[in-house]
Amino acid sequence: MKLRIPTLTIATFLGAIAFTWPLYFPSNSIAAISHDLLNPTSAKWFALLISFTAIAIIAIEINRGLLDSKTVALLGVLTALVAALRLIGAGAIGVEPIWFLIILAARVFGVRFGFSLGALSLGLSALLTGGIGPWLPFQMIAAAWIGAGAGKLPKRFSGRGELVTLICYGIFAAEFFGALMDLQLWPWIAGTDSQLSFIPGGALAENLHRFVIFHFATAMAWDIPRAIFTSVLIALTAKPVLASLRRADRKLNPISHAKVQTVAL
Amino acid sequence: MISFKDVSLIYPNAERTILEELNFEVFEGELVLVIGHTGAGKSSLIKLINGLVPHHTGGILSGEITVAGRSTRQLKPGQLSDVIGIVGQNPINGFVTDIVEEEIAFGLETMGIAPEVMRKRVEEVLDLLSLAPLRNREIASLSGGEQQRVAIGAALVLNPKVLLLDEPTSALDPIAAEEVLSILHRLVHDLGLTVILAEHRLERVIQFADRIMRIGDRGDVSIGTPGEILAHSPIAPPIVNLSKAFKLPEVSLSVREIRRRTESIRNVLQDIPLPQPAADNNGEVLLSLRKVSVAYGDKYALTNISFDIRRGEVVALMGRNGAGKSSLLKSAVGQSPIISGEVLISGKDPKNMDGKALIKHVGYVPQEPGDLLYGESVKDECLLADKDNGVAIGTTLAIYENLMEIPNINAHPRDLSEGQRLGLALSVILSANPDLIILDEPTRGLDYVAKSKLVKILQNLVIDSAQNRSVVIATHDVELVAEVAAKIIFLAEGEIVANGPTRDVLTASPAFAPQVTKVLAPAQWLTVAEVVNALGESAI
Amino acid sequence: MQLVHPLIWWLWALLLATFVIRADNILIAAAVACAVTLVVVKLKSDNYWSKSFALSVRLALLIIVVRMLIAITIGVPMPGQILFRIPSITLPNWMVGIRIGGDVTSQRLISTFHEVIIIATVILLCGAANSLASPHRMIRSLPRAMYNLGVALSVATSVLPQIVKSIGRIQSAKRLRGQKTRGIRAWRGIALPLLEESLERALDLATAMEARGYGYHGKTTKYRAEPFTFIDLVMIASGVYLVLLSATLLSHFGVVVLALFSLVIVASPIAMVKR
Repeated sequence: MKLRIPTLTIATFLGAIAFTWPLYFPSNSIAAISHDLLNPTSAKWFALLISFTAIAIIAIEINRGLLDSKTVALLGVLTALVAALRLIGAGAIGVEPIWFLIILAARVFGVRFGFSLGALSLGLSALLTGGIGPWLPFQMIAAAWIGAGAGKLPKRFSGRGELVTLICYGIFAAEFFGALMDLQLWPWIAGTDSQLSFIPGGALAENLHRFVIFHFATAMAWDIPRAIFTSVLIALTAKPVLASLRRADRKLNPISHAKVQTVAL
Repeated sequence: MISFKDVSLIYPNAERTILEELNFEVFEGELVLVIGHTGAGKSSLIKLINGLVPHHTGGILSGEITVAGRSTRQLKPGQLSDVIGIVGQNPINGFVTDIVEEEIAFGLETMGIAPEVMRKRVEEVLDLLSLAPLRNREIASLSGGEQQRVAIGAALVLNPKVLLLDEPTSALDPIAAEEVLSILHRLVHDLGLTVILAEHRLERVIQFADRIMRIGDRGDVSIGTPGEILAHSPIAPPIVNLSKAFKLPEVSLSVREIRRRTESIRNVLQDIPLPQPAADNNGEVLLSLRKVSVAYGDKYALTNISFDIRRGEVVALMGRNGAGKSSLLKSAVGQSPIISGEVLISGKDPKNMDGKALIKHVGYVPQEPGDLLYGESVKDECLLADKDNGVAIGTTLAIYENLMEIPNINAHPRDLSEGQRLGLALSVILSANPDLIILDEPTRGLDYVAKSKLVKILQNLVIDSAQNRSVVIATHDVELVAEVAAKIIFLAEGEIVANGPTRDVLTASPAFAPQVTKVLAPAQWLTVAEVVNALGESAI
Repeated sequence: MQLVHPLIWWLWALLLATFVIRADNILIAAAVACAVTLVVVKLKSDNYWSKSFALSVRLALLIIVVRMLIAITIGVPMPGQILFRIPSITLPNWMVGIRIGGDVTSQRLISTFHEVIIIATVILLCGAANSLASPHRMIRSLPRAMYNLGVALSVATSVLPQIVKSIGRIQSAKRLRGQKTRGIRAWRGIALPLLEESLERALDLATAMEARGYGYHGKTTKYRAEPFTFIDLVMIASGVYLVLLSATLLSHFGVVVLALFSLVIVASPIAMVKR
């Protein structure tokens, strides 16, 4: 079932604003915008509100696609699996081993499924671990985008080509997630009063420059390990995992005929 | 109520038809038992009735199936949910919510029933299945039997006329199985429900089945009264085989029945000497527990356990769920939190042994044999096992082909039957050539044929190898124990309450006696084979 | 807690967060943080989601530390009373010529702390609502427009603990095969059986749901709604009161009194909810 364009476009648009506002937020000197309530320091709370709205729209959209038992069962169980991996995996292997599964599942089950899986699994795992904070709706949106993107990868690749595509996407997704979350985190952690903060009313290039430097520090610590880890996991497990997922897909969606013709034996 | 006309079923990519030109009718209020080998098509037959086959699971169907006047050809399973309810093997896999009462109400919610009606029906079902005290419990905290009751309740709440059960007691221990079967019996008699039940644990069920439907290996189906069908069926509980051994005119279905008919034979058997117990085993001690206590937090799972397992012994470990069997077995491989006492495998502490060294001493097949398997096909799995165990390529596969009649090496391990999966897991651990083999509930989910194959495999393991292995089996299955074990260790609440020869332990307690013992009490016979041998040797 | 509607915990947390942000005061934020910690400690139950508050506390503290460090090392200098001095290094031009270190004034510290403690308190409030509100009950409270989503989430929350148990079981089985259970290499042997088992479970579940009629009947009804009680009303009313009247209360009674007042109000559920 194709994602309905208008609602999802709105949600995506809202999400994009919620993430990127520090890059172009106007300064206090523009009297029309400046308000006692909305200023560079409080803007982040409003961005949070916008992200909630986006999540609500996304929730309704996900709900629309869950009309049959197979999708609900599969989504429910895989969401639980990804969340469990996030909870336990860190202890067993290191970084959170969730992206490889979201990407591979999206590859087999499609754009809508990947979108839903990304959003729900990050939401659920945060709900159960207490990783709840101003970052959560943003994580969910970012993960939904990553899942949707994985589902959109061209279907014509298979075998080795598929593996390479997925590994590349894994690296991209890891960095994309890191960049987005840094963008979200930027005003919260650097505020408006440090040398690396965003400049309200500043030039886009200037703000981008500052952001890249801010991001550089965290990239070393988190994004590069995440990218390496995700791509290694995909490389190691893609073949059997894709095979398992595809077998399940065949079992869930078999070809059935209830015709009256006698079967030639 | 249910009618099949010229029904044939084949799955795409299958070599044979599952069912061919099947015609039968089931009347209202009947309890029909469906029996057959694993893979013969019991499950397919059950799922045909509510349309899951072919609408949900695929398949090519010809013929007409009608239930309560509705045809399954036009209607999808979801549209039949108010007429037919279904309960499967693993109840917990079918649950959507976490609380008992909510789960039962779920079916009503999806049908858009008015809240007042919902409340009434849920109350009725809770009372019917004695679930009222459990209504606010979390489903995950219930026992297997209780969960199955909740599953039945979730199906019954829609007021169906037909209840389908696909091996509902497969994953349960005997006590829970008994619970579920007696509930079914009551439902049929009190509610007039039509019940179709696929089972392979026949001991308790044949007494109250109205008719039995047997699916043969080639899709041929025979239907008749229990006496008729079981007289010619290779799949039968011990009582039936005993009736045949006694050459009774009619097959008996219950202990009471057969006792009434065999008074003279039983008197004869009283005087025939029992088989001699095996000579005392003075072999090398492979596993030794000395005053072992295991505790999880502040709860004691095992208290002061001491015993030895010697080379060449087959020992059964029995006891209720929660008595400590798993903790005991796990301590033999160093995976239990032991707080006092010592465990020695061939003189060494398993906790200090390196994993690869340990598997050459002890092989452990867990309750879910599938946990051990991670290959993509049987062949792949065997290769992985060869590498993991450090043996020549092909060793594991050879062992597997030896154990199984139909190796089916390209199948995915998850697609194998329970028996085949058990065989594969067994092969994997056998290729490391351990002296001691531990099996945790191996007969769960196995039908009689697979069980007798397992018995043969176990017997061969012990006597056939150059090194004289020992086997420890944790099980509830008294019939298996009677066939294969020389000694029984009985656990209750973490302590050993019995440790002795099989015959003594099994005949001492009426609840745990095999069927043959119950029939021939007070004589202490254990298995049909023993009786047949005894009768054969002495002139009647 | 059994007596408080789960969504009310979240609404309460939301209202208190709004209050803290609007009051914009260190003392008030600290008072609310302490009060909410007390509420959680006294009222939480023993389930797997109740332990999440501890993590929230750690996260909040981490954020405070990191923010302060950033302020000290690369903060924009703020004139005022100099507390201490860090030797400064000026980074090269391609890094925007950031100057690390320099004078650290008390104004700088207090200003940053002011901002970050509000963030930390909001995190604590989220964590509190998370550990006090049962996710299962919350899912049951979803509006009818999200019924299907609710079912999927219900499945996910019910299946999750079972999957966690499966991981333990599979790790134990790996040890039975003499294999390692940690590290990337072990991962394949754990992830694959786990995935297979989960997919099997999904298949069984789809069959069961299909047979129970899911998705075939357009209308769905709710068996029983989570009840709203008087306590819920009181909590919401007190939250709204604080939000709307914070400004007037502040001007009338001053910060300290308002802080104490909010502490009492925030901690009031302890008295109201019976165990």
